[in-house]
Amino acid sequence: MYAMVARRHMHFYGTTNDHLGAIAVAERQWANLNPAAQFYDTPMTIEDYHRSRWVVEPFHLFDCCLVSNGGLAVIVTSAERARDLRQPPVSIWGMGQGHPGGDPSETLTSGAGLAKASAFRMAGVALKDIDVVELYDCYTFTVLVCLEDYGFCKKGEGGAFVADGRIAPGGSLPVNTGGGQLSSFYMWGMTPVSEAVIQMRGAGGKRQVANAKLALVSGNGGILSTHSTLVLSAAA
Amino acid sequence: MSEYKKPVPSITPEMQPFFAAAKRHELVVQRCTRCGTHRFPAREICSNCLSRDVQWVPVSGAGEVFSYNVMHQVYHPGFADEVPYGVVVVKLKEGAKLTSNLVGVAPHAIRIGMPVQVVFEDITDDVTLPKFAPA
Repeated sequence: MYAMVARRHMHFYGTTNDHLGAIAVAERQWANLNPAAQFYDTPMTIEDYHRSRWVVEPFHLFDCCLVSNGGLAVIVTSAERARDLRQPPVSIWGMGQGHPGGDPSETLTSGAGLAKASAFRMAGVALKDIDVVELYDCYTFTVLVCLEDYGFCKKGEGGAFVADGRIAPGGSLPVNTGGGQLSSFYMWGMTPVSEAVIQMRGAGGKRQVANAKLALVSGNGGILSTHSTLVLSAAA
Repeated sequence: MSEYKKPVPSITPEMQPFFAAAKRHELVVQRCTRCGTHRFPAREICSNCLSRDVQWVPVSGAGEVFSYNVMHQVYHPGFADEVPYGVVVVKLKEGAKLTSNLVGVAPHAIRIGMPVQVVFEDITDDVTLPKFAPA
């Protein structure tokens, strides 16, 4: 069903597999900097992306998230208790959910905009304050739509936005800095949450984004129609 | 009738009117009796006005390709000889959407907006599937 929505996005906005491939390649470049990533040792070019087999057109194999075994945990506790723990605390500044209902294949829109409104209001921040973006990326297309719906670019312009390496290492908007579900590991919404915590602690090693103080985290489900947002901060 | 190797839909009580009509080569969908919105598959509540009042009504079977994809992955061995095949979402003139196949069109020739008309494929003695062909 994501492929059905992606096909309509391509039809109406001119989005291409080169655009989707740019997301896959950017995330792979991040994964190549993350020793915990399943594809740490495996570089990928846009040609590799186009050569990967089709699963359901318009999705190649490398448009789809990984299958992973593993476990992750984050401990949520009070700021007071967190101060005494061995790891530096990361603060939850804002959270929100957005469930627009309806049919995303009609709207070509996720719940990210709704979820963002609540989370950013709670956090008292604006999009320009965000240093690192960790998006739920079951497919490359999910990233593209969510970048639009969060307002990093206009609706329909997600393809051009990601085409030039903007979200890759060294780009102006670091997205899915651990390699995401596409190239690091699929642990449901914990993949983006855990990477945001790592970045806010400054523990990202070679993939650490310099001076990253504020992270945007997304969760997505229900074929784009249910969404959640976290704003995590390195500061209290 | 030759053996049908693909999964056969389970006819739930909610969907029984749809499959009974399909067997007669008629297409029916649900229509909200309060606001008139057509919907498919069967749902208890109208997503437009939240009414539970509903009836099954015949529709024209005419519509257009709303979206499509081309399946390459073999999720069931019954499809092994058919990949790649097209899957279409058809938006009927009445507004409801059905996911089905387009017969007589190569998968890469499918386009959004193609006008289509329902056709019926008797797959077993009990089950008939509505599919679509270019109008």
